[in-house]
Amino acid sequence: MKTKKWFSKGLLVLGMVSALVGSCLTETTASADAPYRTYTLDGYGSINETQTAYMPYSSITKVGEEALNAPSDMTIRNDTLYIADTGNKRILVSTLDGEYIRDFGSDLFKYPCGVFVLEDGTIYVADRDANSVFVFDNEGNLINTYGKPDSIMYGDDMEFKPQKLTVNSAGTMYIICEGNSNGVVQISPAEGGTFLGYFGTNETHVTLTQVIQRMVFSEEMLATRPSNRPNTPGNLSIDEKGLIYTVTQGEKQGSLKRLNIAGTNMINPDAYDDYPVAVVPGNYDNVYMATARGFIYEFNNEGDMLFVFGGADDGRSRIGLSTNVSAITVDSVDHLYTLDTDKSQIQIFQPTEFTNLLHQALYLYSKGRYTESKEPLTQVLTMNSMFDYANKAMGRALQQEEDYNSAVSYAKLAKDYSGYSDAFWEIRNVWLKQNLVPVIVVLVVLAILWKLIGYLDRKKNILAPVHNQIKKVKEKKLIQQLTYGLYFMKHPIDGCYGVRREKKASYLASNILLLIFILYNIISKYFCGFLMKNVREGRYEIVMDVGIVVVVLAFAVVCNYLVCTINDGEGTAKQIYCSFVYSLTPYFILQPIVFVLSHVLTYNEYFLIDFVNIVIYVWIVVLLILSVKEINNYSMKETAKVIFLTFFTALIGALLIFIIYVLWMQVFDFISAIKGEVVYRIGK
Amino acid sequence: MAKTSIAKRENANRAGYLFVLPYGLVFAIFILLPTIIAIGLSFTNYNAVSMPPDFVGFLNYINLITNDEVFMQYVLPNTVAYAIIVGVGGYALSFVLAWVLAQLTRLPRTIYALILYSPTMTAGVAMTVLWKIIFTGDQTGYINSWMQKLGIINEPIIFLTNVNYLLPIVILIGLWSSMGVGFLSILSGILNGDEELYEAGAIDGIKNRFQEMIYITVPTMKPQMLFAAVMSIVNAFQNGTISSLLAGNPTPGYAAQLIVNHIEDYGFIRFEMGYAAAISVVLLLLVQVFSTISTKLFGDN
Repeated sequence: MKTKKWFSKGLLVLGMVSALVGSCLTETTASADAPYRTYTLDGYGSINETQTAYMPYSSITKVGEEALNAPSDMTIRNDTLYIADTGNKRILVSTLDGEYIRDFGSDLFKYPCGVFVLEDGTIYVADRDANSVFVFDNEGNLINTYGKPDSIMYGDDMEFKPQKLTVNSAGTMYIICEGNSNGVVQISPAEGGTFLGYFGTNETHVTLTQVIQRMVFSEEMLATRPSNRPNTPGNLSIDEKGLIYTVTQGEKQGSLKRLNIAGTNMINPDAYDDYPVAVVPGNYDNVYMATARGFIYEFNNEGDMLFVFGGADDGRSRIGLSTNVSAITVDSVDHLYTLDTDKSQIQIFQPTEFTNLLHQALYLYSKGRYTESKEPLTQVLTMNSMFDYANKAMGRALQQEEDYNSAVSYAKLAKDYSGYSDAFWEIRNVWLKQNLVPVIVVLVVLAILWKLIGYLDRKKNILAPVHNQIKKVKEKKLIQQLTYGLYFMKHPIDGCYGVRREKKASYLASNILLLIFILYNIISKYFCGFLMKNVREGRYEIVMDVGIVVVVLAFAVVCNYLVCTINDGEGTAKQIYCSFVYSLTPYFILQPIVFVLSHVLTYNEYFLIDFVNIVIYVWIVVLLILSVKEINNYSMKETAKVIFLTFFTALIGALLIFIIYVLWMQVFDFISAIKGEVVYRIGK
Repeated sequence: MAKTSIAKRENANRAGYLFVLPYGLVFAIFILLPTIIAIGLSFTNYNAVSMPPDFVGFLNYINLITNDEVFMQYVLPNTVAYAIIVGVGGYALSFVLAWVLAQLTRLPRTIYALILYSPTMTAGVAMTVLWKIIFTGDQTGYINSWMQKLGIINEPIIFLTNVNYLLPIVILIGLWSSMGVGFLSILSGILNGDEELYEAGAIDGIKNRFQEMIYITVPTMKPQMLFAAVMSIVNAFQNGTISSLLAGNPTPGYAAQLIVNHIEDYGFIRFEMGYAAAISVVLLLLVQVFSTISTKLFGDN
């Protein structure tokens, strides 16, 4: 054992050494591996590693001769990079490679921390400590200055400390101010700066406690409670259509928002981060979100997370890892630029071929050009056939082309349940159109035949041998016991009497029923229709499934029996066990219906399945309660008490088993340690 | 010999037929005949103008199932959901409330029964003075106002045009107004129970009201229970007034479109009478199937 341990440790060390060597090698070569992993969300909603989406490409630490000093914002316009070099109190203009073009404003600025450039080259700078927004022309000449709005609406006590800003094509400024929780300040250029109001305010969150407080507290009491303040957006950006993107820390699902002109949020991302700091729309209706720790998220236009990559620098200063990101931007060829304030460095990422294809496909798809989008999608899927967004888009594109069979198979791959439902509905509709009349005819003929045979049987007794045979089978004791559940389920009180006094049940019959129940359970779990399936494709945990049913039932029976015997219960363990198994009968009868329905229903009619399921479970619970009551001859009050005690006993039992398990593990450890010691001594 | 005896027997029933005649006539003229005409119309493309209508065979039915996406995607699921929840839930509610009322003395019982029964008669008035005000889509609506005061929502929800809320609201109102004839019949069934049976039960060891209900009340009033079950299912399927009073016809996004609204839509808005007749025949079959099921469940074998 000891040798084995040493061996595995050795392997680990070896692995670490090789990794180190590997990383040293890759740092020197040009086509290096990325120093981080790239993840994506799969259709089940779990994070999976995928191929690298963006490679670290290069970095900029100084522009011209002077190094950057705690820069806090940057933007790209017309292939020119504008950096708010906050520490040096200037705005730097450079080429995308970091070649110095010019800088300006060093005498004017106190703390320039936000910069934005319009299409025509007009530069807007937010200066926190100067309490103003400065506007420059493309050459760096000051054209305009906006101070604190004098509108009453803005609030007299509210300070004006602009941090980040963005401007739409009409020149209206959207400014995020420090300490202003009312929202984004919206200022139009008219009449030297008109305050238009607050924009994109986040919502406050009300807890249940607060709701109850508001219901019962008086006005005075409420006034003493701390008021609810919404989180202020931390950064913002604008796309070419004039939609504003905001990121907010601590907003969970609302951390990334896309706001239209009315301030209404239009996306609901399926992933979020607690510390988003910057956002920028991409060139393909996509959007990038950077977080303080250096993770970069990419979302498509519906808010589905495509990739997350990057990460915190572990002290080795590799390109691609960051310590404190504060801005992100993207150029016309999809290179991503992130600005690291602590390292005073700009990092550049380059999309891989896979990402380029994906962008192209999703862009065409979002523009409704489905047929064109199939070509790049196919290529993406040959590179990574398990990339679920591509599968989903492919399925939806095929759905638009009315190729429903292929759409269904792609929707299945992507776990796109609503896409599957829609495509399957079409397939079923076509089938109905073709086969409805024959099916109705067959049904009618069968019904007539059935009536006819029944009639002939009554008159001429033609089925007598069959009836005799059935009667013979029915007379067998085991069969009677097996089918007793049908009676039990309709008449639980009489049924329990039968179990207690008339020997209607036996261990054998109950065991057979339990076995069938487990089989049923497994079949309906793994072979039900796609919409009902909630296990991963191709993953089977049969032992676990069987174990759970057996353990839960055994636990319930044992605990219930123990509790009943000390509470004047009249039932024996056998009676309790058999009545519990018979109580599962509704499942036997109705589950096949659910199973069949799950194969033919779409989401439109899915409520039928829900309804049958509710009936099954309510019925079973009622039967279980009644059988506890009747088997032990309890009143309703006693039954409630016993059921509560049973749950309590089960809890204590589980705890006991856990403790025993832990203790025995200690014993085993002790024994194996002694054994190792002995082996070691003898060996010596 | 045999012939005359049969004739005699039939003659003996003459008086009986005579007694049935008034009802039989009225039933035939006002119920049987229209049903037969509707079934006949469902095989035509009658549009209330052109006479005589063309015979189209099963075309209406085939179109209904294969081409009418509104019917398959919205109307049928809505109707079944509504009928199951309001039918079964309303039945359970009727029984529980009737049983509770039966425990009261005469005067309060009558008053409460009247109160519970009144929604069935006053649906239209109640809708405008009560539910529309409760669910008004701006801050003047009760629910919006309360929720805003408590800070649960920031802006009012427009309940009556919102696809997500419409059907639940219609179902809620349906449950509220489901104490109809079935409720009265259950109440009378409970009240007419034989006192001696309860006394005998008490001697035989019945301990509480629950056992009384299970062992005596329910078995003695099986006919009334069956009647109430059938009535509640049939009513649930035939109800369409709530949706159209609340949100108009067709309802926004077909969110609360029930089969009766669909019939009205085709029959009295588009005047495609033949097609509307086909839908009503389907409704008839649906009701027939469900009442057969409830008869099987609650009736004596």
